[in-house]
Amino acid sequence: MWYRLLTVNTSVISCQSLTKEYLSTRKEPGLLGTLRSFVSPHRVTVRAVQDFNLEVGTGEIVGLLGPNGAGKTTLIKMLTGIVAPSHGIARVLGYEPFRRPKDFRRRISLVMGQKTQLWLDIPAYDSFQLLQRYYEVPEDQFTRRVHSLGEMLGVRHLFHTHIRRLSLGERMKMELMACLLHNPDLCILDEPTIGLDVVAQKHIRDFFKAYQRENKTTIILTSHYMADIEALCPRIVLVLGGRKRFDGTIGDFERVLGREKFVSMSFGEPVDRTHPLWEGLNPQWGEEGTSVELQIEEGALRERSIAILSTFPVVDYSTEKLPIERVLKTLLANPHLLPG
Amino acid sequence: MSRREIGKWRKTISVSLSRYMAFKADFFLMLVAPSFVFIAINYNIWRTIFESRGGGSISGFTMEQMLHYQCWSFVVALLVRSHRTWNLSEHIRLGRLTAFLLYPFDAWKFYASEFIAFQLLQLTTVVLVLGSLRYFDFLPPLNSDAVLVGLAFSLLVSVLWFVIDFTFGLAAFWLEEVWIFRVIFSFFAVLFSGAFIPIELFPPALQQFLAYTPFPFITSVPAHIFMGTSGVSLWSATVTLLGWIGGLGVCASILWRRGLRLYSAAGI
Repeated sequence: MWYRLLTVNTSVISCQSLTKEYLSTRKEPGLLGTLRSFVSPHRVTVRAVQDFNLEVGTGEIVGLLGPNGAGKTTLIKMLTGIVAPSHGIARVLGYEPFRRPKDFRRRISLVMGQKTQLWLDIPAYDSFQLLQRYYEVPEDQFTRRVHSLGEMLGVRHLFHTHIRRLSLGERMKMELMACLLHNPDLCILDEPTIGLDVVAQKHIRDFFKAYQRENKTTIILTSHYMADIEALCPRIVLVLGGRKRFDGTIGDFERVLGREKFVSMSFGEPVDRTHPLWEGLNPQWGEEGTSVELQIEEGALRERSIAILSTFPVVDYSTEKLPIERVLKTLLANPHLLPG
Repeated sequence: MSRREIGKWRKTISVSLSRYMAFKADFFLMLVAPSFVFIAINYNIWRTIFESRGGGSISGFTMEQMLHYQCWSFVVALLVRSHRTWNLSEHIRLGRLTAFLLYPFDAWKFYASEFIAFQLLQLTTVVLVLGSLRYFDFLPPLNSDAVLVGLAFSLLVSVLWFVIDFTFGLAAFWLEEVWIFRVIFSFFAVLFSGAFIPIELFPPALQQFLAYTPFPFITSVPAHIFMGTSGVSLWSATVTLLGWIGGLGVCASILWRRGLRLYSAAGI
């Protein structure tokens, strides 16, 4: 296809200045607002994604982070050809997504944690067979793949149960199977673990780790569960207000707020919270005043810890890097702390 | 069409059949009940009208012919007007269309396969209904040639109905709710197709006007073909019908391409 030739690099995803604008109607509350909106609707242009540049190479796993409404899903919709960009260029696997050529559709997959793509009224296996035909998967390859994926996800015994009778976790596993049956080159996972219990979440994370190791599939993952991101994504892209605000390794992301250690301490009895030793350590006190969480500069960790240990009756002490969840929370509340 | 493509159609039709039959009571009611209620009312109204006049004929229809016409229009309704592509507008509005945009099998093919599956089931229903109408003497002995040609023509008309319905569904790209337009269209389709009052009973000017619309194909023409009383050549009717299907198909294709640019995949 001629539009495939437009891309000469080896990027799986390449976006330049990608922008999506929507026309939205604003309505004031109440009957008067309804009437006004009916007679003269107040339309505003909303920029869901603005000037977005992104390069993703083959086999990469990228975590797309951001609060609700940041523009992550709109970006995904543009990358999969579901919605047309307003401006800018997007190339995915060498194709222009919105043209949606069949070869492009055969090579991608999208899992939406909040929407089922399987047919609820029929058993999963029937859906798989339908997808086998759509994606033109040879019979022997299909049988092998269905059984190995079913084994990995532990759902083989549920193949012939109607989808609507499955639990949320079981259904999500079937969705994952459906999206991987054709061995896509690019797999986009939009909140794949939403609503699942911690055991099911871990199961799905482990599955993807093993799957990616084996198949070298390029994966884009959005999730509000930082455990998903930490377990799977060496690279993070943070989206805020439709713009890319961070793009780097998970290690760099953890250090955006500085090289600080996260220290937890417990005491044998309540301690003086006003003591000057706590200054500059952002103490987060437990209810009883017998435990505290501190943020201490890596270089000052030894000295400050010794001072506290020798002043107060510490009975427990632990230290770790600043959790990514806390980094994200801090950055969402204070976006000015982000570089650039 | 390649073997692989045929395989995709066949499997989609087979899955659609399974889905239709998953809810048996709902399926039966969806297939027969709406048309049955309509024919029961129609049949009795016309019988009462003729009986109150003490027989005779109305615009060339005797009571017997009118009642036969109503029975055949019931059969045509089952084949032509029963399928609803309501779910297309809902899929657009709620973002469910997304899945169909991702599969390497075009969305319209999916809806068309669903339609074919429905028509396969409906054909079975029609055979049973025809047998019952004949068994209970609502219809005279059947002319097998007229029945076969009538069935084939009705199936072709059902394609026209599908294209019209599909086109209305596409309006959801621009409008939040499209059901009211469909209801209005269904009302006109019933009225002007001759489903309730045969077109021959309309004023001549209206009859002439309707000849330039697709409405007569929706009931009157196929019902007359079944009865063996069609005044138009089958070939010219078929060519005109194919023209309507082609023209509306082109409109649907243009609307699809334009509408897709507005699709926001809401809800995901």
